[in-house]
Amino acid sequence: MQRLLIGALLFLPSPAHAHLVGMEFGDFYAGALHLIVAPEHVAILITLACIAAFQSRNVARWILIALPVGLGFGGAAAMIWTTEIPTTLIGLSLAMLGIAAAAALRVHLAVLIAASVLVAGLHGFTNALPAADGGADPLLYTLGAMSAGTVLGTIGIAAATVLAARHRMVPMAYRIVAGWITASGAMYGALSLAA
Amino acid sequence: MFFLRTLVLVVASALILPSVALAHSAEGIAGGAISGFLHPLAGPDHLLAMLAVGLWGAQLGRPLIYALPIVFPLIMALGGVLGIMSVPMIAVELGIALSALVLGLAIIAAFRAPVPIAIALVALFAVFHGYAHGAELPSAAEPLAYGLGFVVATGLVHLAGVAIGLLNERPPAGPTVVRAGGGFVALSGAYFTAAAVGIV
Repeated sequence: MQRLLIGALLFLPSPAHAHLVGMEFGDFYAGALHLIVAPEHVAILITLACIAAFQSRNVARWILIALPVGLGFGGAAAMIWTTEIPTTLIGLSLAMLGIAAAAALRVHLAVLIAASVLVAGLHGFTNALPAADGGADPLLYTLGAMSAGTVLGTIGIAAATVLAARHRMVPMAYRIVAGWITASGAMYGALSLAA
Repeated sequence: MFFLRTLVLVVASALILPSVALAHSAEGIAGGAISGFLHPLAGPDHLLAMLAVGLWGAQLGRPLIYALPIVFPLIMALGGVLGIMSVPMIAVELGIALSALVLGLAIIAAFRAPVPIAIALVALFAVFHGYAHGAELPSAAEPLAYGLGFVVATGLVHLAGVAIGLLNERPPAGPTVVRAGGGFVALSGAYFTAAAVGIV
């Protein structure tokens, strides 16, 4: 009887919500999606995953804590201090982290945490700035960005770490990708500066 | 032999493909990425030199097989920064033309350059290529998407060169094919050099 009831529950249709904004969670999804669709934010998550692959597991897992903390601080700062920061800094952050990954640097734990929080804070700030200007709920928007960053970061870092141990050419592919991200970041920074 | 036949078939098929007319040019991130991706592929001098970097890297083996495709886009981006900032530089076109000539000759001769020399040579040429691209960048393009498209296209051409260069490990025909590829790049480079100094 119990099994039958559980089975019947599984077949119950879930309600369809046409307007998530009406549930007051729209800003949460907006924050999450904004982080996912902006190439600069995705590129930094990929770079952090590449860096993690070159660290020991004990060190790499700290990125997963530093990432949402930084995104949270950045989001909170954007709500208080709504001044735009030069996009050149975003390019610079990509270039700096990209170089560390391309060189397969093994970074000291404290340095890695500090750099991760700083860079995630920078990206969290630029991600949340449009929301602060647009009147979105700051808490939901920032929580959305933190959640998306944590999910993507976890998947990326786990995948990068596991794959790196599978084949000797995989770390080399990470270094090549990181080199490309560094180059893109440098060009982005220069183009922003020139514009 | 099967690989070579397939390669020839693919290249021949690609040559007879019609070019596509696009009714709606992409804008924003997609437009920037597409524009950046196509930019390094549009000039034969750039294309052949980048292909030669991969070919030579494969001929030289580890660590240069992966070091050169990392170094070239990195230094090219720095050259691009100089171009974007309009920093004066001399003989850019000549530098690009010479890169195809010199790298082509290195492949023909199967020149086993020491690692620092190979990296320095490729880095030097990358500055010229990057500068030319940087100076020609459309100011309206979405900057990061453009840069990503541009760098990824460059990297993929290197990897194509590496893939062809791996034929070097399949004697007796493989090394000859690679060196013949180098010959084609060198001949083209000689023409580009002659054009750059105004002979042709």
